[in-house]
Amino acid sequence: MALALLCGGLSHAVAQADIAHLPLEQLVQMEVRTASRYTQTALEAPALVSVVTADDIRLFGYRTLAEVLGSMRGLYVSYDRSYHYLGTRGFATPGDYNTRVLLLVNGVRFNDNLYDQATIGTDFPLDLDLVDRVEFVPGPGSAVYGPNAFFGVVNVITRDGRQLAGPQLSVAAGSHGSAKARFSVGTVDAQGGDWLVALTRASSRGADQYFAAFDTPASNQGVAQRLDFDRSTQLFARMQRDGLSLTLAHGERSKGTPTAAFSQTFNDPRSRSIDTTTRVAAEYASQLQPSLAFTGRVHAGHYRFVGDYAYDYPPPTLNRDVGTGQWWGTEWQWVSTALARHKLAWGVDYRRDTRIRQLNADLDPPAQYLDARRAGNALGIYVQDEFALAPTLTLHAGLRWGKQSGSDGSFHPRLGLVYWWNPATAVKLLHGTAYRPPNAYERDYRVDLPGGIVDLAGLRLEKVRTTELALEHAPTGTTRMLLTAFRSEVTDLISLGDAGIPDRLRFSNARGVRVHGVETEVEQRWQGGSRLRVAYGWQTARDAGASGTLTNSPRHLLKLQWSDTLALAAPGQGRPGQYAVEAIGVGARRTLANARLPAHVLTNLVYTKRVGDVDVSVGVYNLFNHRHADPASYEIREDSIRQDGRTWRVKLTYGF
Amino acid sequence: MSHALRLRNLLWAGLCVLCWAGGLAHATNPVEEPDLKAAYIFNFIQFIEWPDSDLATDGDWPLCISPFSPLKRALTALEGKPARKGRPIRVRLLELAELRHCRVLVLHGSDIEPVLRTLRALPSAHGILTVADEDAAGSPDIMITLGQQKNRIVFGINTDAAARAGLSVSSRLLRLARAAR
Repeated sequence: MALALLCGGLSHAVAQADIAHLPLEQLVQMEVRTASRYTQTALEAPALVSVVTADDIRLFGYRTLAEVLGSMRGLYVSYDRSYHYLGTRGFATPGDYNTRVLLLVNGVRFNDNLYDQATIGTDFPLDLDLVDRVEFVPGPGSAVYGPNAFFGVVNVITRDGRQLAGPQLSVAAGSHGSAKARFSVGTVDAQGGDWLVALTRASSRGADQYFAAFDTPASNQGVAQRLDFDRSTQLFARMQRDGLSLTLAHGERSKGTPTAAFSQTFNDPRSRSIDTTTRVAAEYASQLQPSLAFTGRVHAGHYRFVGDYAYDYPPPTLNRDVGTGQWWGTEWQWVSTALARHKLAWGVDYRRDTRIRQLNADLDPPAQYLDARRAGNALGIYVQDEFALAPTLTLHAGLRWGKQSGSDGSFHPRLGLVYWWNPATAVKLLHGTAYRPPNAYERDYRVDLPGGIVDLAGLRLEKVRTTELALEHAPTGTTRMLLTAFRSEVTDLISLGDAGIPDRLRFSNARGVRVHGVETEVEQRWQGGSRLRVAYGWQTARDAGASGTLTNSPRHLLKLQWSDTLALAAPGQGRPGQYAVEAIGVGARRTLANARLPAHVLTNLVYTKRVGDVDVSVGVYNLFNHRHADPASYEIREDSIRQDGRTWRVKLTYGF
Repeated sequence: MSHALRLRNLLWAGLCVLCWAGGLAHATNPVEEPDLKAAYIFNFIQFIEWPDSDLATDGDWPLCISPFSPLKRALTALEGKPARKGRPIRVRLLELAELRHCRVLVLHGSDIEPVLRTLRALPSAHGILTVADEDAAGSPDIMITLGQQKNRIVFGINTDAAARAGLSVSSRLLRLARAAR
């Protein structure tokens, strides 16, 4: 690594000297690179940002946000055939519905107010075709974003009508009877307003799933039939004009539950969950004075979870779990450069949780086990400063005070020092803290049923503190290398565990975890269109109390991507196609029962080409049909959940 | 263990390929906008005649940048390079109180107005060159504006403003400028 950096640094020094000393006549002839919007500006940020662009999504054939995130340095995804769970730098607590990652869409919080869940699977209400880029900032971000920005922040930026101009139809078909269709219209009106409306429907029959833990004649030899179905509808609309933007996103997903989670009767066709979410947001950005900018947002959301659980007490009955969250909020931010050498930002975030309700009842014979209601407020006030100490040295400091109903207010600082060793190399020292108050689900969900959660103790805030030292090198917009070492300490971790009563679980703050590791990433794009990216992460996460490593915590994470153009037809028949190969390696992991799941490397291969007016994409995922499994959480009897073997997808997109 | 070993080998192989390819890439690839603009600014210094009194004194050649200019990182590459008569460029952050010690000002955003106001208060023929990005420079007092047209960098020169500051722009530079006033 050091060698590579050194070599890159030298070649950069040569390149710099060369252009500065070129005669003007020659400079005038030189072209500016336009494709690399993020590589070099990343050197300036007090963070180690990963970016996946619309182009990458198309090229690597990503089907869900989970796959996009899974391709990024330091991230890994597990799936229990209901939800996708994001692991960050060796940390993925069983039973955590992505509450420790903040998901933003165009800067607006997308985690709901009941489970605090960041939806990254088929329950994410946005079609990936509408995404311009996905950014991930690892590390605690509570000093800016408040709770949930615990291990990182995902920001999804959508495309606009200009980029998806005209009516467009996209259809896809794939393994396990899956099909998807999108229709979108994008336009720019006479007043300069930009409009985009899109509707997506997707359906997957799903394969029959085998679970060894249920392999008895009474439970269909452990095979859950037709229970892995996944059906969704998504609607998205966005308007932008003169600094004002309005967004609407709606998504509904119905997913079968083949795992008999929460001690259900195995292979009951009624077992499923439905996630429905609606979000509206308005943003206004304006330059109030030459040195003062303002951004204001108003947003509202509604989320509803309906879970049907089949039990045989006896008598056999259907238990229904309904969780509803409703909220609105507003965010105001000012950025000022009035003070010499300082760029000051300050703002207020307020959210009103108008309704949070959790219901659990048997349908027939009727019996109610839970009816918990809650309303509340969340307020945050913050200030940040970017202080240019010297031409090559910048200090970033931030402090936020936040309070949520039911928890004490607390301050959270952040510090970042960015030093440019030379114009292509940055050394970054980052320190941040974050917190997360227990969510409504963790506070109120108490059901005295098999697999239910019982109350044994009051819950407190959980906290994390991370320090990171990084070296980042980008001699041109086509090359990026980075090396980073980090240390995190989590205290009062809220986690689900055994309650000491058979078939019951409890939440507690009992644990503390220490994580440390190193990551490296190298990316190179060539002019012909080929591209290589390698990211490797090594980390260990240890429970401060108990010995041994954590559950679902791989030591090694490897991402390898290669893409290039490939002309299958004779030259002159339009643009050549492109192929992309991706290998995603996840090291060995422990399950809850302390079994060892071996390391695995999954290979995906995607070919894209424009044939006539149709964009064609053919993808084979898990090309070598590698058998692998993800650790399961407490509510599932099977210790690990087997994942899909080889699958394929063909996608056609046509613009009218 | 062999798994980890394989990963490591793969990584090293990747790095070597990149290293080699990175070296090659520099020779032919187009360059980044800020790097190219910084190279222009270095050239401007060579093609502008500064008042004699300035060059009589020995010492450094301070180039002062707006603290939040997008060109800041690229301009730090000019540190120590010879400006005029072998005087080395010193890249500094702009300070209103110290403006008269700067030879070149690269301005951005809300810094432009207060800087120009301060410059007007200085005696004429102060010999300070002002450069700004096109979209930021509404003021006619900016001597050189840099812009982008398609994939090329273009620049405009306000010779009146330069003359007021006691600077004379070489005809070679004027010939390449998009619009000289």
